[in-house]
Amino acid sequence: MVKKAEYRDLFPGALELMILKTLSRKPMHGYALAQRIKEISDDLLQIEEGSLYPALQRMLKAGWLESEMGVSARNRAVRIFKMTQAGRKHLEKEVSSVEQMFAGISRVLALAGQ
Amino acid sequence: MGWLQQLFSRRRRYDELSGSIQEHLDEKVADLMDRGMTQDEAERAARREFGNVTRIEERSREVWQWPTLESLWADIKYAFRRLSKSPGFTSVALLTLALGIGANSGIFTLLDAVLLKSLPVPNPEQLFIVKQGSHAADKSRFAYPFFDHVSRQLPDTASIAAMSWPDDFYVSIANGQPQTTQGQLVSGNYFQVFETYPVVGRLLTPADDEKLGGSPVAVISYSYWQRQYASDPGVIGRKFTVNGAPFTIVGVAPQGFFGARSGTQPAFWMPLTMQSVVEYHDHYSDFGAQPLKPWVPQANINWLLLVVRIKSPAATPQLLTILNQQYRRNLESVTQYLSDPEQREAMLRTRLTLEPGQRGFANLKERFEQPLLLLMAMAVIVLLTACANIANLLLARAAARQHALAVQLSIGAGRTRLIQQTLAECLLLSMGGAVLGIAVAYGCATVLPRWASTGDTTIPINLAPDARILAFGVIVALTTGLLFGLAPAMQSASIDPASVLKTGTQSISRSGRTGRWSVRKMLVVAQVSLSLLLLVGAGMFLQTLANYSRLDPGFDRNHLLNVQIDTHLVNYQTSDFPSLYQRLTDRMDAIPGVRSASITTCSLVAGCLDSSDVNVINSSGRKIARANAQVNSVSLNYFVTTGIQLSRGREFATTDDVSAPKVAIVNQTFARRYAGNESPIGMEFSYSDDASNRYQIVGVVSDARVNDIREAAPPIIYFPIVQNVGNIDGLEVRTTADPHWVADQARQAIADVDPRIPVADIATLNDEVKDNLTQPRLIARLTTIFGVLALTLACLGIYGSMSYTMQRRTSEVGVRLALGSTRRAVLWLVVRETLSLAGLGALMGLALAVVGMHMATSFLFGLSPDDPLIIAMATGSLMVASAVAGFIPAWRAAHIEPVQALRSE
Repeated sequence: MVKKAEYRDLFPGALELMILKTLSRKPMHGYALAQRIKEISDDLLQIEEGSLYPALQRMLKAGWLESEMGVSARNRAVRIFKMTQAGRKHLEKEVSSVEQMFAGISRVLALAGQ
Repeated sequence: MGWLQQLFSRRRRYDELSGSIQEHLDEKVADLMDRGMTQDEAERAARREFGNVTRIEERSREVWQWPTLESLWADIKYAFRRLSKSPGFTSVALLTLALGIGANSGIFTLLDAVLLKSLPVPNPEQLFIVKQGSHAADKSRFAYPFFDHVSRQLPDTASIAAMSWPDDFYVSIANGQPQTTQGQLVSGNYFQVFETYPVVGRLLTPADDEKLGGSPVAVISYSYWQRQYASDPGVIGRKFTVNGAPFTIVGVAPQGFFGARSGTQPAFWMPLTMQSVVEYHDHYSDFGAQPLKPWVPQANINWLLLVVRIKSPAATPQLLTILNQQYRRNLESVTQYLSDPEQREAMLRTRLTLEPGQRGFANLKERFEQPLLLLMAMAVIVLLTACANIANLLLARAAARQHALAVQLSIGAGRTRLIQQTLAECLLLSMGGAVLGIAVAYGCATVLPRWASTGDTTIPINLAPDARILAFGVIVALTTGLLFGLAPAMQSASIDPASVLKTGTQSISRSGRTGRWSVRKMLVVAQVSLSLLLLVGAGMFLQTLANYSRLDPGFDRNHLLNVQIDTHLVNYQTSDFPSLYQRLTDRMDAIPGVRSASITTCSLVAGCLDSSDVNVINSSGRKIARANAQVNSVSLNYFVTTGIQLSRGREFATTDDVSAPKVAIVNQTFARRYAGNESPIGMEFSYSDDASNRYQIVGVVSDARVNDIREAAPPIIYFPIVQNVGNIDGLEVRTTADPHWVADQARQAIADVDPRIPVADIATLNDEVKDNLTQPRLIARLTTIFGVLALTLACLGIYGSMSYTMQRRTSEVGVRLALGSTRRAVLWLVVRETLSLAGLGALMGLALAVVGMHMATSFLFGLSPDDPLIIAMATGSLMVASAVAGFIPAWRAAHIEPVQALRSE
């Protein structure tokens, strides 16, 4: 029924993957997470900030994340998202399969035209 | 996390979610303000970059939900709130639906009971009826020895039961007055084949078949037990008499069990071996047998219907082989009585087959299949009009909600979601209508069989709801909901929010629905056309009924009384009869108010079907025809008494006695069909080629509809009863006064002549004819009800549609009036539009009516399916009703105050 607009420019699961990778360094709250992804992607990926939230909910439901109360950089009480053991496993698995995929795509792109 | 736990922790999840989003926005605003934005700017920028908060929250929540289901639930709750806010609309819609769905379910219940329902016995699909060649299953009759031989050869996986037709017997309990009661002779294993068990006592067993006339026991039905014995378990061992013979009750059959013929309800069952004891002599055919001797040992007398139960389908071929081998043997012995070699060959070629017996003998089916399908079709039409009506009302509501819908759309509601919302409202309505309709359905299903039954006894019919009826109700409700919801749903989805919001509440979507022929108007046209179809039907069926009632049946039915008696239960000798006839007519004649009375062996309109084949021989002694004619032996004065006119020759006279040459009178159909162009007077006929036994035709009488007022007269031969003595069927009595007043004295007269003679029925011919017309009356009555209902709905539709249109055109009318248009012109403007709607509907309805009535021709009598007068009258009343319905909005429009109308713009 509801169109999944957040996959507009990405492949399925990409957003989750980026969130997991970002959180693997340290737990973060929603705004910080959005800022971080924006920063490191150098604004190359157009991600609507709000679209993080359905993804976060899915990941909470899948058990890859947990949330707990913490403090923000401005010292405000905020909800912090933390990666779980299951999340780490999922990340490892996904990263390797994504790398494989990109390698494959790069090869095709490099050689298919010859 | 289990789904249940998840369900309960959801509220906390949602709170956390909105919390996180709020924190996100707050942080962002703070950041942006640090970079120099004002609070206002920062908040706007934050929201812009974040996206639609409500949508995102909703989508995030959906992760934890079954979105389709839960949004549906939310829509239903919303629909419920909306509906309860407009009780007027809701109650009209619910009432309409309750009537429509209820009538459909009620008629379907009957259809189900008559055409679809299985016998109320275990594993009915294992039952089969033995069918003989091209005979119908219930005309396939067999002799007892045949049944006996077959049942001895059957494998273990099959069993066979035999039964007579259910018939009326005179039953007397505790020496009381004999009552006509339906009973049936059945084989000892009958109940075992049907896998039925007793409620009290025992059922019949094969041991009851062993000795001819030696087992005077009976099993009574559950309802007879309730009615006559107040469900007393001590009924076992009690005695009653059947046609004078004492029987002992040994058991009670389970509730609802009626055997294999739907539409019949025997009150008791006796062993076949008791046939001669209870003097059962009906529904048989014989080849050189002796019908007055016990039937059980005779191989040439066919009177039994056979039902087999096949437990494993593998046994079927073997069973058919056994049946056909035995049947072939039988045929060889029977066909020796046939002189015509062709006929013999044809008979020897007949084979036995098995017909599925799951639904029993198709007794009710023949009588009610066509009328029920007709009623079903009409009920569906009414439901369609109801759907159109509700669709129209919903469209009006949706139009009023345009603004709200546009707002919903512009803040992010999906169009599918809006459709879902409208459909939820429709389904809620249709389900509500269906629930209310249960009462209507129940009423229909109980009243209709009563209306359809003749006399006092209701046709026993199993109306217990089953899965099929339930499924039907649900499917009808769902289809109805979708049907009337489709147009409003499409409309709500096609709104263009920008234009609606720009122009304010009065505007309508741009998708052409404001045009001359909007969906709403088309719906009205459809309603009008369907109701015209029903009105024409009602007119034609009423006319049919009137034609039947006015029909001259060929006898004078006023002041005529049928007194039906059964003399064969008293063992008269042939020599007793002449004086019995004399005493009966004399005693009847002596009653004050009786003009004349005559004996008959075939009472008028009671449906006796005795017929014979005779050879017609012309005056030069040549055989000119083989005639099949119904026969009736009557006493003097029969034609005067009944009012059947003599058209040629003479009536019977006192001189036509035993010693005189044998004479007969035929009716015109006989003369026309078999005498050709010659005058039948003086012709002779005989039963066989044997020349000694000939009857001379001395008179021709006019045709009379003696069997059923709806059936044309068959060829009939009348004999003088003194030359043809035997048991009689009753007397026709012509009275000067109201024949009802004579009934009691007629009963007394029979008792005076011989108290042993049971009186089967005393009824006036007018009442009997009325009974004949039960079905046309039922159809006329229901079509009228349906027609009026549909017309009312159509008028409501017209009224609603025109009011709505005029409301929208208020300012236009205001301008017209302000510019000098007269109120009369405005009135005409609206009435003209109404009439053009109704006219288009009527045109389509006429086409429908012509097609529909041609399909229903078999239900018409005395008029053509395109009878112009009735069609004109129906169309006229439809147009008048539509004009009236459209007049109110027109009048209202014409009395608008121009100033106010213009100000409101």
